Amino acid sequence: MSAAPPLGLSILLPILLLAVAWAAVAADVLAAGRAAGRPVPWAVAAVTPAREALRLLVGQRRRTVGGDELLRGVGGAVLPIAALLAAAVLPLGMRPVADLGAGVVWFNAMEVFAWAAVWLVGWGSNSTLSLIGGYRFVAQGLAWELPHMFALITAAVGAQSLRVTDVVAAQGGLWFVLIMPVAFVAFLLSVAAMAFWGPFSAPVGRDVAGGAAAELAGVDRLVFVAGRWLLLVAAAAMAVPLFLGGGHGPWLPAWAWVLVKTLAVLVALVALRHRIPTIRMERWTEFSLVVLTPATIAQALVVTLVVLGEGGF
Amino acid sequence: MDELTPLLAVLGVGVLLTVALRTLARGVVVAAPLADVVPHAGGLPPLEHPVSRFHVRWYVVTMVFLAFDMEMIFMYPWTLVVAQRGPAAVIEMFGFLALLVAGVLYAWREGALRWT
Amino acid sequence: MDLRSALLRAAVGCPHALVVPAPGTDRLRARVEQELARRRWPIASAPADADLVVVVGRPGRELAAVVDDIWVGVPAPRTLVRIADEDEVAAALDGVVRRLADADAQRAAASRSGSRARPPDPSPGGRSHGDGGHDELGPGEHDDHSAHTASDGGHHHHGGGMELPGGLAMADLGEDRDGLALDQLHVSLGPVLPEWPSGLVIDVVLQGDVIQEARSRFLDLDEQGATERLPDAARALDTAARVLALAGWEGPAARARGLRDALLSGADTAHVPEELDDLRRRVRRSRLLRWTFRSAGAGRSEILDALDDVLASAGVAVAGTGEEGHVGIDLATLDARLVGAQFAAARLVVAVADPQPRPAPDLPTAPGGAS
Repeated sequence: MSAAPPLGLSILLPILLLAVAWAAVAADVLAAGRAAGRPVPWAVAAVTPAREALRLLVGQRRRTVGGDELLRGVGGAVLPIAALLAAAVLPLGMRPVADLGAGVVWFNAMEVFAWAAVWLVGWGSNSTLSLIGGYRFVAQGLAWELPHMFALITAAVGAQSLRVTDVVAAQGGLWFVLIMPVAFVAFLLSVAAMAFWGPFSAPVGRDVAGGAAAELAGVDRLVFVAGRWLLLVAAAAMAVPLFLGGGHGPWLPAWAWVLVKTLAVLVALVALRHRIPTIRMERWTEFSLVVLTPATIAQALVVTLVVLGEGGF
Repeated sequence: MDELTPLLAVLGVGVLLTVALRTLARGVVVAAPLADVVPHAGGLPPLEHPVSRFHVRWYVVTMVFLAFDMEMIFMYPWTLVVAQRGPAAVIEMFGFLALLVAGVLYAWREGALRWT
Repeated sequence: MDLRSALLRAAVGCPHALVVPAPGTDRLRARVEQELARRRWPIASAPADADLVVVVGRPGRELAAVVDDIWVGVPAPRTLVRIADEDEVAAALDGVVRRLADADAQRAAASRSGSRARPPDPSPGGRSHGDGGHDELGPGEHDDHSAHTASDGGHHHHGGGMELPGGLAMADLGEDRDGLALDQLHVSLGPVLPEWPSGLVIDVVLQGDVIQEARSRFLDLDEQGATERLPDAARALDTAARVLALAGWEGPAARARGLRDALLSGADTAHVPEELDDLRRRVRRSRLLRWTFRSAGAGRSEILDALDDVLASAGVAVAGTGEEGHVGIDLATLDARLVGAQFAAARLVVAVADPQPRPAPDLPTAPGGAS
């Protein structure tokens, strides 16, 4: 099991995530340009992530009157660190950095840190619009988390294991997306939602002038925004071992398949994002609880019955 | 414990990277931080501190969520044993879930899931 | 030191611009937005996000104070340009990157404190935006608050004698629509918010993110000179673009702005009717938009209907068949619509109503407007 030293992989992990996040941001810039009818050249899109990061790196920070600098700083830092920790159970190829026995639960636990993070940033800014943004995220979180957990559990039931590598191994023949499409769709939706991105970007929306991030400048903003993209990448990458067969595939090595599939999920999300407006959280709550949650439960039931049937009962 | 060593390494790397980024920023930043910025709501100064007891109109949703969240604590280990335990485990778990969903539908019919 | 300069130069190539339009400068603002889009400079959502503040038109006394207040909170590297004429737009923006990249000047000019020194004010809650000796709108704000809070016995101006940071009071309790006693926050929204009508300020009482009371006003009404209005079609497209942008539908919003700019420049308008139809069809067909707008405001899909009307009126105006259309909403009606709305819904209501300042101040509606 100890093929590579954990330290090497844990240093590699943030580099990989950042590289994929870079690609995702660039793709987003391209898609935004196309949607606006003002195409952006590839070269410009490719350097945009770096230039924006640099802009925030050299930018002056700011503290609001009576704001809680510590809470805000902690909240911002929690986002990228939680994304990294969630990604630790991702098989990069066939082997993750940490092959936890309860890897699926660990991923779930880490990604929920974002709730606290965004709210802390919104509260710590001592600004009306930030506060509204922070609370929006919590309200949204309450709604997306339930279908999300059922989607995770459905994959775990399919493999009868909470270990992510076991889930991948169980998909040697058949990808889970084929027997649990509802869970897959629910998972993809929650990927965007947990990164408060795309149709779920109300917590940092234009109507609240940037919401939770409204008062952030300089490196504070950089950490927050980077954390958000890392979270999106980590969660999108998780769809690969859970539903898309992980590293399984012909011709290419496992790591290449993981990379290709992760990029495909991200490209699909980015393309979809520019076709649809932001969903208001109260609409989403209703839909999520009344339609999506029962649907994912039904999906879990179907998969459970299939598993039992195969088990010879 | 062996399982946790790589996680601690990842945590360490994450914290280190964040601290390094902030240190780097301190080195290259144009100017020292702005202090006492007035929170922005359009340009006019605020009359009160915005951190207030925020009226959370969706508090009923939190109750529904809690019920399901407790259920999840049972369901994660359940996934490991359901194949051995057979139909009885399935009936128990999904019977419980059906009760919870009935609760959600009741809350929905009562209008608890809309707050505007 | 040299590395820092090099980094700064690489960093500021694409500054984020915060546009502060004076009321009645829609045409000039549209021109500025067009030039910013051409350069691919993003529009900043708030001062924290801005590198560049663009003051459009000649602000009156009140807006000038707002600009000063905002400016001290803009993080370095930063620069401010004032544009008062269409011919200056490109030239004014040309120098921006060079100024932002000047490390020494930026360091010297960066502010340390984000709040402007003001004349001392005895009561912490009684701080009003302008300087002393205000016009009729400033003091009106005080009357507003005491009138509202008197009913429930609490008065938010009481800071309890405690020294609170920034000299600000804490929010105080007030009754909400469900009969619960909850914190009421008194906030002046505007005039510098994304997709917000120029010069509009709405003093709101917020509980959570729901608006309990609202009173709208325009800054600098008494000083307003000749307003340059957009032609009907361009104005309707401008409104539609704002609503779409608030709905998070950036692509169609940008296309609506593109059509507006094509109409304003008058260069090549042959494709406009077709694209406008296309846009309108997209908006009407979007189920997601219909679904997400449904609870906005009071009615089922009032916002979407209004947006469709706006796009239809743009089509009529482009075709040149309609007469002078689009009567502006009066502020009292707007206030009434905002009461009880959630923040996101309220933003859409304001954007689709798109009130315009009128030379004659509509003060008679002010006291009763909020209830």
